[in-house]
Amino acid sequence: MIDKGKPRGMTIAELQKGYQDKCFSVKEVIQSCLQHINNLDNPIGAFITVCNETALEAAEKLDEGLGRGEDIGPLGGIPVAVKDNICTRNIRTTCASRMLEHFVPPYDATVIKLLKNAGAIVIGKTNMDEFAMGAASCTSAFKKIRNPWDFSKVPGGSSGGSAAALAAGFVPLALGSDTGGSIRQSASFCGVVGLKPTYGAVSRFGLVAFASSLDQIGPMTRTVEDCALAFSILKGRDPLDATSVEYDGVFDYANALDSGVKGLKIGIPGQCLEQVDEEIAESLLKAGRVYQESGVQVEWFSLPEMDLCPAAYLVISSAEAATGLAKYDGIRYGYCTEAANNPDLDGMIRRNRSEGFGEEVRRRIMLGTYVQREECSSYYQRAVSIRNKIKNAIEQAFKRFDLILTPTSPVLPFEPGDNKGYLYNEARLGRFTVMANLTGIPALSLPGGFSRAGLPIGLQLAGDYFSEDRLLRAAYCLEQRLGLFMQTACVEGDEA
Amino acid sequence: MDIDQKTMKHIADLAKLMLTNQEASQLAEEFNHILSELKGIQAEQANQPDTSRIQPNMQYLRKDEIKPFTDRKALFQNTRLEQDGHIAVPRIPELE
Repeated sequence: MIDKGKPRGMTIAELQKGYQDKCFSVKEVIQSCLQHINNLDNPIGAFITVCNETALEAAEKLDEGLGRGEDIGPLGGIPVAVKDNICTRNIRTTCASRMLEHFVPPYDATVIKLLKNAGAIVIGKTNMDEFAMGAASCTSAFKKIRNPWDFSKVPGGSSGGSAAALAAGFVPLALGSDTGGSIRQSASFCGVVGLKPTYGAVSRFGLVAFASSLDQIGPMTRTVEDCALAFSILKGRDPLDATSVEYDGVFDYANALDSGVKGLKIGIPGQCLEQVDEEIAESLLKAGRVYQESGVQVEWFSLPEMDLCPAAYLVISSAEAATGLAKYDGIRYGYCTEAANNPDLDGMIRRNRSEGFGEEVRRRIMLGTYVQREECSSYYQRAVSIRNKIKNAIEQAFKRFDLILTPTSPVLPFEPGDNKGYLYNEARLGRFTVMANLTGIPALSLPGGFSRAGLPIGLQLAGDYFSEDRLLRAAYCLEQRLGLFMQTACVEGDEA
Repeated sequence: MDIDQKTMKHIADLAKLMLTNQEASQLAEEFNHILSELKGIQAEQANQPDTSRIQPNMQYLRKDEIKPFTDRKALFQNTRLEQDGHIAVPRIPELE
């Protein structure tokens, strides 16, 4: 429930209105936000670092600006939680790994610069799967993350800390990264909104890479309107990221959201009802009916290539991860073993990497190294072929449809350990999400219902390249019709 | 090709990781399973162009200009030990 006297749980739009009406100062909002995190985050584990002092300093400066009648920016005074694989100047950036436990970047990622220029305040760095590798946020080297809706369940991964911080009402805006569905799957498990933009739409400069041809930074929020506002700040070309592209025009996403969906065509792959939790399938069908009632033409079609994606994703992402993570040897910076009996330089590096990286990261490096051997290169080529195949299938689909609707995850939030220990099982959880990474199209997860046990169910909308406006418009329509954005998780220990 | 424990140990050498025999066996079994998913699709999709770049002709390169970064202190802030303006690295027996 939203209480105007307590900024916790408020959306970006509500906080902005509060500032406008002088209901509270920026400092009061940030103080309240920090207090809630410091008091309530212990059982959740959403944050690795909380920026108590720097956040308050930034708030005081904005209040001074407000006092002088200045415009404090489109995200002025909005607290933002940042996934801990996005570099923040003079704030520890660990990737939830022992390898980078003490790493303090001397620079800001471009997305952080953009947020700060827009007036947002970095409140802390969020917990995650180590180096973003995982689908349950169980591989952090520091602490587990619990789902605020049900502490016995995982928050999804790898952006589980960002999603949990939103679900607990600590912040109205968080950044995540999405290599195979990390933003969307976490958003789905925690009942929030998460957008993986078109590849190249948002700069990745300052993101610690997992797999560069798949990685994308995106906003996570509690409402579609907030997501649109955040995306309008983040998008655009960055000279420091050669893969980033111009995003035409100064499009005002937040104001375009109301323009309706009538006449749109949405396709639902028939594969979405196979090996999918019954309650998730029910939510998908309900969403289809809601769209039909809103004047959208909804059709079923077949997308069998979808089921080839998890294996291709594992091979491509692991190969890129093995290459990208080869630089961590613990010699100049990063984890260095305490053991004194290293036989030689190679032995010491081997020990640094084996002790500095967790089990999941080591597994992916091993798989990635294996498929890069000359005698095994056919596996990589086959994975690339699947990537082509799904890309062609998606291009054909978008000749018929404006958007594709699927569940975000085939399963409900589960207990830690339920899907652990087998890489392929985890990849199968991304059955509906990885196709957006392999092809580069934008996709968004939004709350689509609740299970009978009260667990969030996420639905995914995917669109053609650079069609975020349409995607957000359709998501807004469903969100408003379902009315789920009014619900937030009640955190244990909360006096409310 | 079936992956065995010996292959896994070799891969660990290439990846500069330590691996116990038990870990090597587990990974071999797991990798065989993952890669078996890919075996069936080889022939029909051969020789297609790589789509690892999403949109062709959309890569922009910066001008090749020198932009000195002069904040030496910031560059050294993540090293464990600095000595006489250099990064001090751990002692390596073979180099003595």
